[in-house]
Amino acid sequence: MPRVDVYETDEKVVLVAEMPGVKKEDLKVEVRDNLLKVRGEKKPVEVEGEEVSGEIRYGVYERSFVLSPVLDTTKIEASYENGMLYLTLPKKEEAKPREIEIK
Amino acid sequence: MLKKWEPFDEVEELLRTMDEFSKALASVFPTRETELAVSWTPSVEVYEKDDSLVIRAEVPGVSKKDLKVEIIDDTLRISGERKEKDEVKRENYYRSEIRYGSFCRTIPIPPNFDTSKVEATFKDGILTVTLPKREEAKPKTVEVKVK
Repeated sequence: MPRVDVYETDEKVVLVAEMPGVKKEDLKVEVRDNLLKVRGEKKPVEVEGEEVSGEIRYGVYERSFVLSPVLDTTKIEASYENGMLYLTLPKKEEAKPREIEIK
Repeated sequence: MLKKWEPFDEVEELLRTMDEFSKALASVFPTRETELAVSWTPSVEVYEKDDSLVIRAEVPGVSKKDLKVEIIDDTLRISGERKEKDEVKRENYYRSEIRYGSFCRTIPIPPNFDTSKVEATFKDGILTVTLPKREEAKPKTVEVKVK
C-alpha cells in the first residue's frame, strides 16, 4: 500500500502517493462511480549478483479512496514525478466557496 | 556452573555501552551527521556483482538538486531533503503519511570496491549508485592445462 497525503484547498483536493520505482507506463488511475483506485506495479530490477542487504520491496502498490460528491470526477488530473504520483481533484463549481455580493 | 572466561565478550559489552551512550548523546544534541536527527530514512538495497557493487535507495519526491551523494573515507553517504509541493495548513489534511524534511543514510563500502569511480543515476524516485570492483579483486579465470 503506498503512503499518501490528502489535503483540501478552496478549489480542490490533492492526493500525493509515494510510489518509487514504478515506471509511468505501469501506473494506473481509475475512477468508477465514487471510487478512485490507484495502482502501480513495481517490477524488480534485474541484477545478477548476491544481495547483501535488501529493504526495498517489489510488487504492486494499490489503494482505493472514496470520493466526496463535491468533487468533479471528470476533471481529475494526474502527474508522476520522481516516484510520486500527484492527483488533483477539482471541486464542482457549486461546491467552491464564493462570496455573495451585497446589493 | 563455571563459565569459560571470554575476554572479547567483555570488549563487546563495552562497545555496546559506548554505542548506547553516543546514541543517547546524539538524541540530546542532534546534528546533521547523526541519523537520529533526520526526519525520515530511505530504504536501501545493496547488491554485489562480479565486477561492481550496486546500491539503490528509495527517495521518492526528492528533486535531483536536493540530493547529495558523497564518499567519506570508506562509506557512501546519501543525504538530502524532501520538500512539500504546496504550503498547506495542517488542519486541511485528511491524511498525512508521507514524511518530509531531511534524510541521511550511510552505507559502508567493502575495501575491494573502487571509491574513486562512483557513478550515480536517479530515476522514478530511485537513486542507483554503482562502484566498480578494484581490478585486483575481480574474479579471474586461469586456464590450467591438463597434461
